[in-house]
Amino acid sequence: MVTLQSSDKRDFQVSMEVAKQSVLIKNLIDDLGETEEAIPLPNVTSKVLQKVIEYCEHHKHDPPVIKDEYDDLPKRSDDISPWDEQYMKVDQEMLFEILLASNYMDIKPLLDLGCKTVANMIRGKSAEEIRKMFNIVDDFTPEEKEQIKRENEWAEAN
Amino acid sequence: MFVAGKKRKGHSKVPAARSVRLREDLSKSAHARGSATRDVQQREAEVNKWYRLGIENAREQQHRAALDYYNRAVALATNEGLKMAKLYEARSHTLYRLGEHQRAMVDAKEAIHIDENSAAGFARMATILAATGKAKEALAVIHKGLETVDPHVYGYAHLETLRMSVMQQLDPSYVPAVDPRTDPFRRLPEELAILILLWLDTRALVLLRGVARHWLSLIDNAPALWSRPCYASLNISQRLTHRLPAYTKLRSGLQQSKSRVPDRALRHVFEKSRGGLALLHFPDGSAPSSATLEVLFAHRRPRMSSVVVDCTAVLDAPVMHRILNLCMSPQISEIRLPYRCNLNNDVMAAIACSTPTLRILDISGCVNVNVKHLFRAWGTTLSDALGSTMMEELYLNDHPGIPELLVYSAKYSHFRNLKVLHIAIRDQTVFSLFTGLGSLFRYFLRIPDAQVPFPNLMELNIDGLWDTTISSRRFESSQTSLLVSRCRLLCTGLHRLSALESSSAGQVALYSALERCFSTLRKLHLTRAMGLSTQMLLRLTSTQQALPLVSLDLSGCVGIDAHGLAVLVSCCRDLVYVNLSQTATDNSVLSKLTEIINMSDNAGLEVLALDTTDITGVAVRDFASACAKRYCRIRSSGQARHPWRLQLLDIDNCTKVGSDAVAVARDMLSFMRTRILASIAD
Repeated sequence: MVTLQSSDKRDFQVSMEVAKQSVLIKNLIDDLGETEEAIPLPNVTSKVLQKVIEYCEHHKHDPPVIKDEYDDLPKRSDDISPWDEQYMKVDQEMLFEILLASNYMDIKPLLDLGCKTVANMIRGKSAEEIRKMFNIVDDFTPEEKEQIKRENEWAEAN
Repeated sequence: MFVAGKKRKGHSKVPAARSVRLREDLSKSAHARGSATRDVQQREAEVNKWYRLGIENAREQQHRAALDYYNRAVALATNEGLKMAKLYEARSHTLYRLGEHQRAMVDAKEAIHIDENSAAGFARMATILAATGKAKEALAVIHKGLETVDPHVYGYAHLETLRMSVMQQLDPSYVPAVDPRTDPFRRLPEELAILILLWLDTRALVLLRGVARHWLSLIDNAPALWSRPCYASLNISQRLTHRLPAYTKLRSGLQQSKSRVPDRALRHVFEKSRGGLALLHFPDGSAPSSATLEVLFAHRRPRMSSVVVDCTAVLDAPVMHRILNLCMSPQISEIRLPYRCNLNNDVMAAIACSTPTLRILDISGCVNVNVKHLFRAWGTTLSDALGSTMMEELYLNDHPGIPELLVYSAKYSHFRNLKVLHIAIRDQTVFSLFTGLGSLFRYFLRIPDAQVPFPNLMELNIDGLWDTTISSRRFESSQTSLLVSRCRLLCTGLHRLSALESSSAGQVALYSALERCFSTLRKLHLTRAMGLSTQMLLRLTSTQQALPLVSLDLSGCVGIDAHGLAVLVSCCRDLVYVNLSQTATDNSVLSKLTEIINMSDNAGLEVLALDTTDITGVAVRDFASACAKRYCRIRSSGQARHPWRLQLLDIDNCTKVGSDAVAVARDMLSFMRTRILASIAD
């Protein structure tokens, strides 16, 4: 068992195989050996850490990802499994917190999942829809808009 | 004439004198105007000076001094609109700090009066009202401000926060509603933003540039995003057609995408990547100009490792020349230049010499490249002890040198490391270019220890090589197919075999070829093979418990009966793609396929094509209901890493499947968005 401590000083007991999905913690344990002391994670709040641990618990038996040598198709982001999809149904703030935490703790599959989720939110939407979705102020001048419109023409066709 | 001349002379004198005076006048007035503007400028400079001093003092909490400076500035400044509003805003702030609420209020009102976009003016009024206990009035002022002030103006956001604090003052239990919508690219560090954007293709990326300024600068300043031009959304359907032959049928019914990648877009990508391009790709239909290439060459290109030019890209001679020069660089590991007639032996020799680590070469249909020269060119770069190059993938489709390649490879081991070999013939006229096959064949028989030419081969594509539909060239094609059989091309350990249109493959040739690799094949696409019989298939499967086949296409193999197909299908538990169109397939085969669907621990069938077969409506219904059940099971358990669904069911021209069965199947499969192809002949 390993103890992880969130930024607000809450301790979480997890099994070794769950903890080791984070490369940050894996390297720490490999370097320092197993300790009784709690491993502090000063950048992760308890709310987010709990969510991250939930993911690692569910995926602890996953085999390591094997790359197909001859698969030349671009990376696909529509192959999210139902469990993962459900897991990612959180508000935007939580989603970004998970992204930051998985980046900090170096959990590649979770980071990929988060990035895919955000990319899927963005894909196929017009600039106006995206501005509305993320509450972004359109700060282009009319001239700049015209310029961008001209540059983007080919992508907007059909 | 004379008079006129004189007159003219006299006439010209007067204006000359007048013009001098005029000029003097002009310069005088200009002088006066100059001094006037200088005056204004001077005053403006002074106003600015006092204003700046005021701000500096205010910042250091010297409010008395600040007020003094502001007063001077206001006294000097004339009606200059917005500038004046700023002055009043500043003075109002200082007055408020000094506790002179009344006067601060007057200044704030003045500022709003001059400039209705004065967010600071509204904010000041509201703060004063709130501080004096008139929260309700303060709220009214804020609301008015939020209405009139342009949301783009600096300070608008401050009005929002002010509103919340005033609301809280009015009602201590008031909890401000936090807007859940946050801009991800402000919230997240840049590296994460780029990781997200990497999941999008070029076209989506281009559209995102128009969202806001910081999105534009983020996207344009990340060469990593542009270094991998993938026009995924443009040619994804094309790739699908290539992978799933049944998809072609589907596609032909839909409108073909007319969009092409214009030169402008390519230049755009080249510019953005700043020389970090790893893959140079000219997609189908693009026509890059020299100017576009110049943009690319303006940067160093230390990372470029692949050059891909799709076969319908239009390149003029100078552009092609530059691209070929680009190929001759030691870090290049992939070159795909299919159907380029400008490629000749000299160019190939130069490329061979300068790219020692070339792994992938596609020179399909480059008729001016002689295979003999290919061996000679690469003969100088042999790297390992066995005398082989590092080449792992060779594409030589529609090439007149295919027979030579096979024969020479049996003797020389240049291409022993090949993992992928494509020697398909799609254009039958190539057969007529095969010459001297008789002597080549005799040469082949004389090689004493003819070895397996490609012992490490994993993927072989010989579409059309076993085809004899052109009767006039019967000799060449039959000699070629004989060569393919004799060469022991299909070695043990082969994973993917594609041999479409294999109508002329003989029984012996087929059996001896398949015997070696049948147990390891993942993909078997062998269509119209008349030579494939039930007995042969039964003998091939008799020694196997389970076959690893994932993709199976035996369409048009009429020599196999339903029993043979059923036995084969029941050995394969991992099938994902099955095409048994125009075969003897009946309900027994389909029920075996239904069993595959029912098993929970496999990948599951995703594409099934049973065009023109003997299946009936009952079996189709069973199959559809099994699919629907599996789909629900996987959905509810949430266990699967990849969501499964049946993508395509082709039961076209199946005369025994009635319209009612099709309707039921459509009903059951509709919620997993399966495409069903079925035209009912009545």
